[in-house]
Formats: sequence, C-alpha cells, structure tokens
Amino acid sequence: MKISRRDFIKMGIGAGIALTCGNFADALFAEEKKSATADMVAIRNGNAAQMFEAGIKELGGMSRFVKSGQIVVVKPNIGWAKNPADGATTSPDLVAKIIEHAYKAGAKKVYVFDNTCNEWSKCYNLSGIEKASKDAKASVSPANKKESYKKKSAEKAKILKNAEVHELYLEADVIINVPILKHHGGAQMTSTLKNLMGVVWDRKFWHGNGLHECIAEFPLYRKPELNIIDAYSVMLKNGPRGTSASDLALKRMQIIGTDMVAMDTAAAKIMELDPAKIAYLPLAEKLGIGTMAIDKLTINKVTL
Amino acid sequence: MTKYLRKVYQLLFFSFTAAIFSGAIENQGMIDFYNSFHIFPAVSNIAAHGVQPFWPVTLLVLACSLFIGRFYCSFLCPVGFLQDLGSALGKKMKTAATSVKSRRILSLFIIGYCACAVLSESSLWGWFDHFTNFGRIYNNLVRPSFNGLLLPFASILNKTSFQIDELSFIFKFDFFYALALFLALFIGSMYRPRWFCILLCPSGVIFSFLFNNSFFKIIKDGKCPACHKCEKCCPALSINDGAVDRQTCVTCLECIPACPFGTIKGRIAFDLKNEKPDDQKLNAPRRKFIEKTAIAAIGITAAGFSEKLNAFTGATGSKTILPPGAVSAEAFFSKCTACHLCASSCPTKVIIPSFLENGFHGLSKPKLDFSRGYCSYECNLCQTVCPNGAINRHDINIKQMIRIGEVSLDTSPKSNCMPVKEGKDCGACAEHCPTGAVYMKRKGDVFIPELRKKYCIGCGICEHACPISENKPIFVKPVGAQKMVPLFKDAKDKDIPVSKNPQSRNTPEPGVNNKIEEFPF
Repeated sequence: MKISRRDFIKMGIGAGIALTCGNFADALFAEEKKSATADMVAIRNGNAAQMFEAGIKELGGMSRFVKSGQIVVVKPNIGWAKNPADGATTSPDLVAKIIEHAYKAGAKKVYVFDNTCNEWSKCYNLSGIEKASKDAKASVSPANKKESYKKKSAEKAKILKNAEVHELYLEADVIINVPILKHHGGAQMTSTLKNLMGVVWDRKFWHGNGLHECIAEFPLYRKPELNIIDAYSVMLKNGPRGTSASDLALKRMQIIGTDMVAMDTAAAKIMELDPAKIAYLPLAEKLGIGTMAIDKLTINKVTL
Repeated sequence: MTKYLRKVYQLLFFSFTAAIFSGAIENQGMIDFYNSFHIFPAVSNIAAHGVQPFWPVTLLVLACSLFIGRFYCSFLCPVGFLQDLGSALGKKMKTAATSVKSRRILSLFIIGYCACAVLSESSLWGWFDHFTNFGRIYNNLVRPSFNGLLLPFASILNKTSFQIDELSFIFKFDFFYALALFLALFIGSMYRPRWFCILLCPSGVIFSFLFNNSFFKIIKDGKCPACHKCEKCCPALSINDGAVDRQTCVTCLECIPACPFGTIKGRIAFDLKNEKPDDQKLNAPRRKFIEKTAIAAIGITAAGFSEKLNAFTGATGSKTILPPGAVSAEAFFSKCTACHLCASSCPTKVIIPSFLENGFHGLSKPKLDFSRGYCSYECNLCQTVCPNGAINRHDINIKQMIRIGEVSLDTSPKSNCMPVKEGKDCGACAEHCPTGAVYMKRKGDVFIPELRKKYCIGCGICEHACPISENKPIFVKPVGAQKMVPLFKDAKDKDIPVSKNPQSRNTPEPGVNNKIEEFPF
C-alpha cells in the first residue's frame, strides 16, 4: 500500500492527537507530544539534505529544538580523513542543511566540531564538512587540544565516573548529534551513542575500561537535544574506516529523533544486526537513557 | 633606508622559513622554491636526484654574489639574522665588540671537507651547514618556545581554526645542541659579530670567494675625514678607517648611505686585476702550507667516508623506524643531515630526532616515535619538504603502500590485549588501521584483533591508539628496507555481517534510483 506524503502527515497529526488525548497518565511524555507528532521520524529515498528537510518538518520543525538567540553545537562524525563518498564521515550536505535550519530557527551561533581520530586538518578538509559548514556560516573549531576539555563527573556512572568533555558540548544551549551509520570493529555499530565519543578527550580510557559501558554511560553527562542518523550510504563491514566501496550499502535512509537508544535500535536493524546483541544498547536502556522497545513508539515513516 | 630595507627582507625570509618549518605551507612549488635558496642542501639534492625545478634560483643566488656580493648572507640567511640580532643587542649593551679575523686555512678546510662530503654522498657536511644548524635550532628550541608563548591564549585560539601545539621540548641531545648553538650564535655575536658566517659557514666561504673575485667592490674613493660613521653601522665590524675588509664584509650595503661625505662607494668594475686583496699576495711557503691543509681536509673526508662504509658493512638495517621514502638506514643516513625540517613540519609530530640508536651516523637523524603520534595515511609532507632529497618523494597513493615498519600482535592468553585479558570489547587498533591489515574477529562473546600482515605499512596508528600503556599487545617493529605492499581489496570475512540484499550493496551514486529499501522496523 502506497500512501502520499500528505496522507502521512495527516495520519501523523491524527495519531499525535489521539495519543495526547488518550494517554493522560503519561504526563511526562504528554508535553512533548503536544507539539510533536511522533517519537521518531524515519525517512527514505532521497539524498541526505532532502531527507532532513522532510524529516524535521515532520517532527515539528527546527524551532521546536532551537530557540532564538541560542548557541548550537552540531556534532557530525568527522573522525577519519576520508572523502564523503567513502561513507566514513557524515554527509557535508546534511551538516550544511542542519546549520541552515538552526540559523533559520534563530540560533545565535552554530559551532561544528569533532575530536578526530586522524589528524584533524586532513579530516576536516577531506570530509568536506569544514567547507560545507563554513559556507553555511558555522564556526568550525578543531577539537584536538586538551585545553578545550573540562573535567566532569557523573554520579550514576559505574565506569565512566569522570570524563574530560569538550567545553562547547557543555556550554551550548542545543546539541545536535549527527552520526553516520557504520559498522564498528570494536563496538559493532557506530550511531548516535557511539558518535558522542568524539566530544571527550581521553578515548583510550573507554577502550581500556569497557567500551560498551562507557558508550552507554556517557549520555549521563548530557544528552543531545536532537539526533539525526545519516543512513544514506551505510558501511556494513570493515568499519569504522572502511577499506573499499564494497563495504558500503546504499540504504538512502535517515532517522531523526530525541531518544538515542530507540534510534540506535532502529539503526541496528538497518545494519541487519540484532540490537539486543549490541552490548551498549541494553546497558543504556538500563540506565534510563532511552528505550529499545521501538514497537511501542510512534515512528513516522516518510518515503520521498 | 637600506638598513630598514634589509631588515624587512630578513624578516620576510624568516617568516617564510617559519611558515615552511611549521608546516603551514604544504604547496610543493613554494617549498621547492624555498629550498632552492640554500646552496648546500640544494646542490646535494641535485647530486642525489638530478636537476630540481627551481635550480635557476640556486644558480641565481650564486651568480648574485658576483654582482652584489653576499646578498644571501646579509638579506636572507636566517642564521645571519639571528647573529645580527645578537650584535644589535651587543651594540646596545656596549660590549666593545671587535671583528673576527678571517682564517683562510679553516675556511679551506671546511669547504674542502664539505665539498668532498657532498660529492661522496656523505651527510657529514651537515654539521657545518648553516641551514641544517638553523633547522635544529628551530625545531628543538624556537618552535616549542613559540608554542609556549601562545599557550596562555590556547582556550581562545582553540575555538578557531588556528591551533597551537603543546609545549613540546624534548630534553635530549638535540635540545642541548640547539641551545648551545643558539647561545653561541646570539651571545657570540654580541662580541664577535657574524663570527659563524666568517669562520665556519661553508656557504659563506663560497659566497666570500665569489665576492672576492667579483665585479662588485666597496671602495674608499676620495677624502675620508675619519668620522667612523661607516664603522659604527657595519654589522660585521669589517671597516677600519673607511677601508672595507672584503674577507669579513657581508655586503649589507649599509655603509654606503651612512657615509656623510659620499666617500664609500659601491662600484661595478669589470677589470678583475684591479685591487687584488692583500692576502692574495702570499709568499710561497705559506701558499704551500695552505695547499697541504686543503689536501689534508680532503684526506680527512675521504677517511670519514671510508669509515662510514665500514660502519654499514654487514649492517642489519635500522634500529629505528624511518620516514616513508627513506628506503634504508644506509641510503638515508648518507643523505640526511638532520635539519629537522620533516620533524618540524610533521602534522602529527611523530618524527623526532634520534640519539645513538643507529650509531654516530644516525645521531640526530629523524625517527618515528609511535608513542607521540603516528604516520598519517593521507600525508606525505616529510617527503615534500626534505631539502636534500634524503626522503624520496612519492605521490600520495605510492606513499600509502610503502612499508616503514612491521606490525606485531600478541593475542595469546597471557597478552595484555583488552578483549583477551578482560573479555571486554575494544577494537581501537582495528578501527584506526587505514589499510585493513588489522581487523576484528569474533571469538566467543568478544571481538579480538587479527592481522593480515602483508597489507601492513607500519604507520603505527594501531600502536598509538592501543589503550594499554605498558607492554602493548600491538606494536610496530623497524624493517631492514622499506618495500611496497599490495593494497587490501575486499576480503572475505564470514564473521562480519554483510547485507543479504546484493542489490543494495552499491557505491552511492546520487541521482541513480535503485530499488527503494524497506524500513526494517
């Protein structure tokens, strides 16, 4: 059965109203659902920028997340000195589109950064993100100096009790987390949760003390206000760097939402992985970061 | 006016030098242009790799001295600039400086020694070469100090694209060497201005020789009332009662406008026999002595060369990891003079000076230390900047196949490797590997690293990324000679999930509408 976009939106609004009215008991979520129509939006069959445009509209527009005069941080995955076509870094067009929407919503300043794995200038340059962001008038700041990181602690954490977090991540009003969906040799999958490894200084601590636990615990420091998973071209093996074009699958999808665990659960399914076997997902759910029961959520699906 | 013009030139060239050394300029042409100014490295590069694109610049620098004297020394040379700063301070502090007397025997010895070294493919000339020594001062002293000065502003600067490095002094041999040399040049010049240029610099000997036999002369023409204004302004203090000592003059041309009576003049005279310097009217025994000395110098160099040959007979390769393109310890150490330009411009700062790991011939020569960084897969800057061709130049796709070291991995039960020892996923080594030489394989509940050794280029990123601080389970060993490795094409890994839908496994081509994938949720 094919449904048009208009129908979809109508249905979404209908479902939203029904949920808002019917579920008074869940007061916590009720507030969110007044303005929004869905917990999560999944879009397919467009390029990254088009899909974002459609998806954020479906979710109630960027003004739901960014208010006038706010400082916004966009955190893409710029970890590797690779070309956009290699599928190892977030699409630069998508990053530019997000910045554009953030400014339209009234953002005072938009910063873009990532603590890269390869030498930062090569990553920023080759990924095309530096140019795309600068063209969109965002401030691009390399995050390769320890002085930019501040010591923080999280009480609820068992392993990642202390972390040096980038000051922009701590100070910004709004964090927009934009991972690219990829296979990962150690963590199995890189998505919203794993992408936040790029805002801390000492990644070796994570690797050396329990990668899954640290990934699951980091959102205790701060959760991004908005997450966008770039699943246009998905690296299914040899990740997170990739060795050749045959590692990639053209999925042409995107997921936009606020619940990182739910989004990563959906993303794992795109990767053809069992979410329950990606150890950091159940751990994050246990910590209350989000839910893995995506069947119970309203996922608005948009096909362009 | 000339005085300020000269300072502007010196400052500009010093800025150019700093931009090259800091890696800010990555443009091949600009770097080649810069390197062609320095006689010894440029000639050595031509000797090793044939004619270079900017050879006319090298020739021009030499030819220039026939017409306007030691232009390079007075207007461009960063070592000369350093000494001028020293002597300027000396003048302020009234240190009663006097001129250095030129020593022809010493000059002959040095030039004989260095020329022989260049021709016999020995890098020993580097110990005298001004550029090499300047590079050592820059890399081990100036650069870290400059970073230190900017450190208080780090939090402001780091929000912009301008990034400063940490305070990165390495308190080893090269730091002390650079410090001693800097103090000798700076403080020495307070008492004996331009002493290095006059006594030791082999390029200076060449320029001085050309100047002495040139068409250009600075002469005393007419009445000199002995006002000593020219003597006071001379940075080399080589004027005595209005008479210019051509052995020590660096032709900064400051005395000409300084003379209120127009007595001191620069003149182009094509008659070479006119005004022969005094010291060429030598007596026979002294001349013979000089000849003997020159021969001795040649002998010493030849001896040094043969000793070097001995040192490498039966050598088992390098004990350190050399920059990509160095080929082997034998080839590299005979060309590299340790100017540290590669170390200074390296974006990951993995290149540092070595000590005596490879004996005297390897002293101060660059090595890769993977505890400090790793060799960036996308970078070949060290090859681009090397002024004397010790690091062979390759296109980036060739450089990405040069094996500089060999990976070694221990995942035996007694290993320190995280997934083996603690049963926790890690994957740091494999995620960083750019060639596919390290990958993760499922073993029980966790993924453990495995090697495909033949694709390893020894870039050291696995060792650098490994979270284990001591006794790393993965590390890179030096290799005897650098060789090319094959490229890792798609490997058949059964353990890594692959899409069941073969149609979806395409390279993304925007605009091409393949089958629309269904949402799996």
